[in-house]
Amino acid sequence: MTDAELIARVLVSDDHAAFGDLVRRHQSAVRHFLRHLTAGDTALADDLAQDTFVQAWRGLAGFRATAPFSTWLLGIAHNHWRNARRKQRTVPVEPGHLAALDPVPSPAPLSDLRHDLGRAMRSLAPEEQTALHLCYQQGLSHTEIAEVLAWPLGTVKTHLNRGKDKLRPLLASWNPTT
Amino acid sequence: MEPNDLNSLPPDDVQLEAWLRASTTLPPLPDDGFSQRVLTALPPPAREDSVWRRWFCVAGALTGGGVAALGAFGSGNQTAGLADLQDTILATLAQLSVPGFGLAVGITVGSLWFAFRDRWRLLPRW
Repeated sequence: MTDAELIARVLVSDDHAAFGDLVRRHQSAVRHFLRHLTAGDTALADDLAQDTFVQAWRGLAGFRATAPFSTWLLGIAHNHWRNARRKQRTVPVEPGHLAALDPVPSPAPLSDLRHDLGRAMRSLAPEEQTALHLCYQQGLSHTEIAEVLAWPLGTVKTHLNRGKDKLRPLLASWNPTT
Repeated sequence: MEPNDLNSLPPDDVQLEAWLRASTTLPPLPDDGFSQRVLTALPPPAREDSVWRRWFCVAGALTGGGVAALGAFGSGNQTAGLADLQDTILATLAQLSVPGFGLAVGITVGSLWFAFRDRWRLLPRW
């Protein structure tokens, strides 16, 4: 069943089971994104993710399907994180999820690359990290990133390019054979 | 994801893009009961008869309007009924032109829209 069909079932009959399918389908992307934003604070990220889905349930009638459902969810998640950060300044501001995340055993060179790339990513501005996260880890298009973060498209491209410009020299000496 | 055509990028960019794609792909997070916690936190389901209640309200309004119209047409001769109805409608429209009344109606309609804006898609379709 597609997202649109599940959403229709939720709207027509408040179908909790259909919404549960949507949650199971999208929980990984939302929780990954929030773990990135909260610098790997899994408990806080999961709390915010839960709030995100409850908010999505309440506002589902407002979903206009001009973008994928996942993009809409990530936008809500980003808003929740921003609100939480405003209310509670102890929420980490600087995302650093890439370095903390390496749960899958990788071949040694790739694992080394993840490590070095994670370290290099931590030196970037938070906006650059977030743009790169959404682009490469979540696989979003530039337009979708702009929608999630409520940034102009040009700003997204600028942050992505700046991030890559900074990464390039940091990884220039990287060689998997050494 | 743009740009997809890696061949159009400078060699440095091709390598960086390849590294970013190869080393940052996220493995799916196991659910670990997360979905169940979300479902538990949701507000209780709306009563199943809510759609029927809306239909009932619509049917009641139509019936009431019909009865009122029949009353207007049913008394006296039909021409007089039509004239009365026309007078009533014109008088009502004239009241709408009074700024205060128009503002009150506008506020009422706006409030109703704001209160039910997230529910309009659930109204029965014709």
